[in-house]
Amino acid sequence: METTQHIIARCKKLISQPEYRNEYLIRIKEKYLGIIGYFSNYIPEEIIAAAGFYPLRIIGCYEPSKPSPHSLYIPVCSFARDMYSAASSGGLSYLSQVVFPNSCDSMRVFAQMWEHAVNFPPACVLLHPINDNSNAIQYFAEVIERFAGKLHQDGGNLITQTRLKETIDTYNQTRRLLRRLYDIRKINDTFLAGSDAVALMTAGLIMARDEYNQILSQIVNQGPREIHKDRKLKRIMIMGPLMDNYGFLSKIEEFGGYIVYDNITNGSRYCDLDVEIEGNLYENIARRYLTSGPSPTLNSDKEISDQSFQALIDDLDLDGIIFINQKFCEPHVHKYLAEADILKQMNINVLMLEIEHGRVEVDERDMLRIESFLEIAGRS
Amino acid sequence: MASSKSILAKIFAEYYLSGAQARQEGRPIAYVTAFTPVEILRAMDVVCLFPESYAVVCSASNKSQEMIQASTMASFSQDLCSYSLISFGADHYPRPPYGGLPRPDMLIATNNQCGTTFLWFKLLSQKQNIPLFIIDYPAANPNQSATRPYIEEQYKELIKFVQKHTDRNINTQELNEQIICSRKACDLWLRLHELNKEVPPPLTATEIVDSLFPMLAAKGTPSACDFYEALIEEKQAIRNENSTDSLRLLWHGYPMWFLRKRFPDCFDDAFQVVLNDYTLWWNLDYPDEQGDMDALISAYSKTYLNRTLNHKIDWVDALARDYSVDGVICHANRSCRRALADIVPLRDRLHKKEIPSVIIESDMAHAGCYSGEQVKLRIESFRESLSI
Ligand code: SF4
Ligand code: SF4
Repeated sequence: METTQHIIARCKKLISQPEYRNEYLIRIKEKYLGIIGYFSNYIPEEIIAAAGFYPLRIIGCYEPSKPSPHSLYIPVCSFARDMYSAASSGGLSYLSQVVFPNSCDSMRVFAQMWEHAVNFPPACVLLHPINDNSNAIQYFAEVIERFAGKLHQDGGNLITQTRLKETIDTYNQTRRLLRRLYDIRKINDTFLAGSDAVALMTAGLIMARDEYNQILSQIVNQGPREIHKDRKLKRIMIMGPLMDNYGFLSKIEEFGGYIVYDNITNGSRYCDLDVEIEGNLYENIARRYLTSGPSPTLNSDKEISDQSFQALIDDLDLDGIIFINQKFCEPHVHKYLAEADILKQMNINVLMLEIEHGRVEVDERDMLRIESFLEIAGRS
Repeated sequence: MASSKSILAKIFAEYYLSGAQARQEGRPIAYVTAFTPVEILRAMDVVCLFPESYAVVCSASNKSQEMIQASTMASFSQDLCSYSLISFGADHYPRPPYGGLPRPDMLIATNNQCGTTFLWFKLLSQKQNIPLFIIDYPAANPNQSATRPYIEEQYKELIKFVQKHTDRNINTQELNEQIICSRKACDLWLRLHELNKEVPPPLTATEIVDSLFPMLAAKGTPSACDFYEALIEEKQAIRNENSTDSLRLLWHGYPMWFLRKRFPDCFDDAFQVVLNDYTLWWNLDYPDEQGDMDALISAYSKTYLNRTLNHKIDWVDALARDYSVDGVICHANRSCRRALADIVPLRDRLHKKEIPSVIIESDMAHAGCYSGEQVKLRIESFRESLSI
C-alpha cells in the first residue's frame, strides 16, 4: 500500500510540476470523451463527468511564464494572468474545451480575451447567477440542464438520471471524505500539515475521481482518533481565493504556524455541502453550488455574521487568520475589507498578504510579516 | 423655451438638494449604481443618488487624489476602481464636495456594468449596516429562456424590498410615464450625438460629455427631455457655419473627469474628437412594443459593458464608420476591468480595417494615474501620423 507520505509527494508533483501533470492527464484522456477544463467552484463537475468527459479544475502552472503573444493589458488577477499566459503559449492544448464562470470581472475579461486571442480549446461561459435565493436556484437549474444538453451534443452521451445520480454520489463521497479530513486535523495537529492537506485537496481537482476517493479514504481511515494540540503551535486559519501554492503555506508552518482550517476555494468551500440525491437533480445541483460556503463573488445571505464566525473561531481554537489574496483580486479584497473590522472587534489577529499567483518563492517582506505575525498571534 | 444651460443648472441643483429635501420630507433615499432601473424606484417615490456620479464631481473638483489617499489610509487597495475609492474616501475626508452624499436608507446595485459595483455596495452595506438589493443580469441576452423570468422575478422582489423598507407602493401609471420619458430622452440623446456626423461637428466632445448628467439624475423625467430638446435646437441653429478640413476622431472609453476639458488639451478645430462612445453607453434601448417590465429588462440587460466582446467591437467599428472618423483614441482606463477588455481586440479590429488608432493609459477619475506629458506626446505623434 502506498504510504501517506508517498501519496502527498505525488499530489505535490501533480500540482507543481506541469510536465508531470500533463503526462498524467494525457494518459488518462484516452478513457474519456475529452478533458474539460474549468475555472471556478460554480461549474458543476458532476455534469461534466456524467456526460463522459473528464472535469479538470485548472490550477497554477508554476513555470516561468513564456512571453505571450498578446498582452492582457489589464489588472486582472494574477491567477487569470498566469492562466492566460499558459493558454496562449499552448500550455492547455490537451483540453478539449474550457468552461468559464460568470463570477468576477477578471474571469469575464479572461473569457473574452480567450475568445479573441487564444481560441483553442473552444470556450463557453456558464452564466450562473450571483444570487442564491429560490429564484436564482430555479434559473441556475435551467442553465445547468442546458449545459448538460450542450455536453450531450458535444460528446453524444445522454446524461440519464441513473448516470447523474451515480456521479453525484462519487463527488459527494469526495466531499464527505474531505470533511472528515478537516475534522481529524481540527483535533490532532500531528496528522497532516496544513500545506500537505492543501496539496492533497488540490490534487483532487486534477486526479481521476475514483483513484482520488480511494487514496483519500485510505488516508482518512488511517487518521488518529486521539486529541493532540501542541500549545507551542499557533493555530491559523487561511482565507482567500484559490490557493494552490502549498510551498507558500509551508513557510507559515516553518515559523511555527499550524494551518488548522481554511476558507479557500480549493478547501472548505469546495467540500462543505453535498448534492441531494432525491428529487430534481438539476435543481439539487444548483442549490448545492449556490448555497455552499459563500464566495465573495456571490450575493449570499450566509456571509459571516459575528456569531457564526465567533462560533467557528472558538471551535477551531484559533490564534489568528491569514488572508492570502491574489494580486488584483477584487472580490477577495472586498471580503477582507468587510471582515477585517469584525475580526478586529473580536480581538482576532489578522494578517493580509497579497501574492502573485505564479510565484513560487516567498519574498523577504512577506516572510518577515509572517514571522512577526506568528510571534504575536494568540497573545491578545 | 428656457436655455439648455439654465435647465441643466436646475437639474444639477435639484439633484444635489434632493437628498437634504428628501430627509426633510421623510422620503426614502437610495444609493444606486449607474444602470439601475431607476424608473421602478422613482415610481415608488424613492430619491436615487449615484455615488459614481458623485465621484465624477469630486474628480472634476480636483479632489480625487486626496480622497483616494483618504481611502487607502483606511486600508483600501489602490488597485480598486477609483469611483469606489473616492466614494469610500469621502467618509474619511474632512471636507468632501457638497458635504458628501446623505446616508441612504437602502442600496441598490446591479452587475450589468461591472462586478465592482456589486462588491462596492455590498461592502458599504456590511460596513454601515444598510439594506442592500442586488439585481443580477447574467447575460446581455434576456431572451434566453431562463434569463427573462429570472430578471423579472428580481424586479418583483425589488418592489417588495422597497415596500418593506419604505412602506411605499409602486405607482404603475408613474412607472409607465417614466419609461416613456426615458425612451424619449434616449432618442434625443442619440440625436444630439448624431449632429456630430456633420462636417464640421456642431458640438465639442466636452460639451457632449458635460451634457450626460441628466441621463442619470433626471432620467424618466420631462426635464431631461426638455434639456436635450433645448440643446439640440441651440446646436442646430449654429450648424455648418464654416467647414474646415479637419481630422475627425473617436475617443473610445471613459473621458478624464479631472481634466478641465475632460480630454487632454491636444485637440483643436483641425484635430477634433467628434464622438466619445462612452456617452452613448447611456443610450439604452427600451422596446416600446412590450410591457413596462419587458422594456426595462431589455434596456438594462443590454448595456454596453454587459455585452459580448464581439458585439462591443462591432458596435465601435460601426460608429467609426458612421461618424466618418480618421482615427480612434482608446483610453485604457486602469479602473475598469470590463472596459479594458475591449482595448486590445478593438485595436486589432481597427488595424484590420486600416483605421489608425492609439492607446492612452490613464484613469477616468484618479488624476494621479494621468501622465499629461506622456499622453500629449502620444496624441501629438498620432496626429502627425494621421496628417502624413
Ligand atoms: S482570484 Fe479573485 S479575481 Fe481571480 S479569478 Fe479568483 S475570484 Fe476572480
Ligand atoms: S468605472 Fe468600471 S469598474 Fe468602476 S464602477 Fe464604472 S463600470 Fe464599474
